[in-house]
Amino acid sequence: MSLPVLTNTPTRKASDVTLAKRQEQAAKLPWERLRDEATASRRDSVEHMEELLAIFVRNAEAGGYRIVHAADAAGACAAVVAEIGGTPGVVIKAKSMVTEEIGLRHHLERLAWRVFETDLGEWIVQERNELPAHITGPAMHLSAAEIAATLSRVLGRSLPADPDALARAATEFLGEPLRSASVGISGANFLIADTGEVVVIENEGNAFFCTSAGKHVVVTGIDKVIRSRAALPALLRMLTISATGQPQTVYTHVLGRRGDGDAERTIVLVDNGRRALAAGEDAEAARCIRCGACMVACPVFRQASGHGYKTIYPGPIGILVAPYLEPGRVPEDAPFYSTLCGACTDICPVRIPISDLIARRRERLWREGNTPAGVRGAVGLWKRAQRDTAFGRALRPLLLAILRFPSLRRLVQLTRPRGRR
Amino acid sequence: MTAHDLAARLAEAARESKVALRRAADGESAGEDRVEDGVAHVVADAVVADSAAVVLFGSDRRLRPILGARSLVAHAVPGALVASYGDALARFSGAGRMISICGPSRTADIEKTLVVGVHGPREVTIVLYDGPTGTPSG
Repeated sequence: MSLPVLTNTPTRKASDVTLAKRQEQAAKLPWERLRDEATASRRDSVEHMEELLAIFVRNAEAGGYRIVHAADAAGACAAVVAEIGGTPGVVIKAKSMVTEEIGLRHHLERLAWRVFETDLGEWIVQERNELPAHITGPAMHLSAAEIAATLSRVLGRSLPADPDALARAATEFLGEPLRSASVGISGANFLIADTGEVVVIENEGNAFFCTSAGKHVVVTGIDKVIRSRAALPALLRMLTISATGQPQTVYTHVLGRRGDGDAERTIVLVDNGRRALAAGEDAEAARCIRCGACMVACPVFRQASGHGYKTIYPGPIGILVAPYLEPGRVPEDAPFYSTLCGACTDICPVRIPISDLIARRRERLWREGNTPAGVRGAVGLWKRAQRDTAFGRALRPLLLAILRFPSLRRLVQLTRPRGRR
Repeated sequence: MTAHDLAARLAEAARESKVALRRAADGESAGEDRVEDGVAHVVADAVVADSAAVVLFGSDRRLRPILGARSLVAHAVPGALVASYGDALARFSGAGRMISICGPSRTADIEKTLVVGVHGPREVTIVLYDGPTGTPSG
């Protein structure tokens, strides 16, 4: 297994807080009914993706948006550059997983743009040159002390390990670019086909400034389309409560038809593996709304944090979608980063049978003879240990000891060759 | 649902969302949208009783000074109060932007500790104006 055996305490604590708040808020609502409604809407999105996209594009164009289609990551990055112009300047960014997926920040920085990640958690991981550890909580793997060390280095003065003071530092550092930059980039949480509207949610207020700068580029996946406004309230409930345990985010933006005094807007609609995902055997995973609840509920994620998975999309849903959206980053034994306990399936607000799909992926690998050698070897040993032979009887207690004692597990991991790919 | 029921729900939601709620004083009027000394006064296009969210419709140019203010005072004139986000959404013509503002700007990105006041208004107040008695608002 490639997952390190470690206990990432901030990840576990943050996961517990989120789960507790989620539970408390869900109990106040007709949760299962709203979950059904959200699931039905997202099923519709995946099953009729091309139809809904065509309607969305027609209505958004009529509403004054420019629409650009991007087939892959490189195409999406090029499309953004074409929209914001050839002269590098300052760009403010709201948090967006799609921009992480396509490597937009690094692409712009290579072209000499000054890119400000303006969501606090995202700014922290930007300065640490790390991937976000969770899709809605990028810095959830870090303690306040670690964050203080990072931001102290950036600001050139000593900051205390106090969330309040650290958030103030963000207000101070990002306030000026947020108010003065003329180019903003954001993702989208939903695209409403019937009205051509773009929905963006956030808590800090940074996304408001990013989406209202003189020029605003929305970079989002084609899978974000929903049919109409009707299901939006249920989807927003599912998303915010599942992601952070909030009944709603502080800000909910619905960007409609462009008029006098509105930012100039372009929407870059990114495929980058989404059509293949929606058409293949993991199609159910395409209705994911990117809340990250499956991550905080997962016993593996809680131990290894998002970084254990090496992909932009970590956790149980990441095991399913990363091979389509970011195949180059997926470790070959990724389908085995799961206990198949089903916690992800139980919590998913749009009822994706995540653990069943992971199990099916493993079966397929096994049938096709593509199970990684390490896993195949371990399973082979396990089978032999079950046999009533002298070898089996000797092996059994040894395997159980390895499973039971972390120090022995670590020893076994040290004997594995380094560098997986 | 009566205006009275909605107002009761609003009061409860305001507490949870850290929104200050007060009745308009006698003779107080909402006036024009304005920003004075870092305090933005706006006439709310809708106020959601479920969440104490202030809903504004308009252009980016109208909204930028409001979101850039330290404090937001939203005047909820009779008829502005609606039950749910869906009800507010139904009032949005689709021109420009609809923004729902539910309490002070905040983050919990550091150890899940809630910190209030990041980039948007640090304080949100709703001023509730009485309508004609018994007028349904939702």
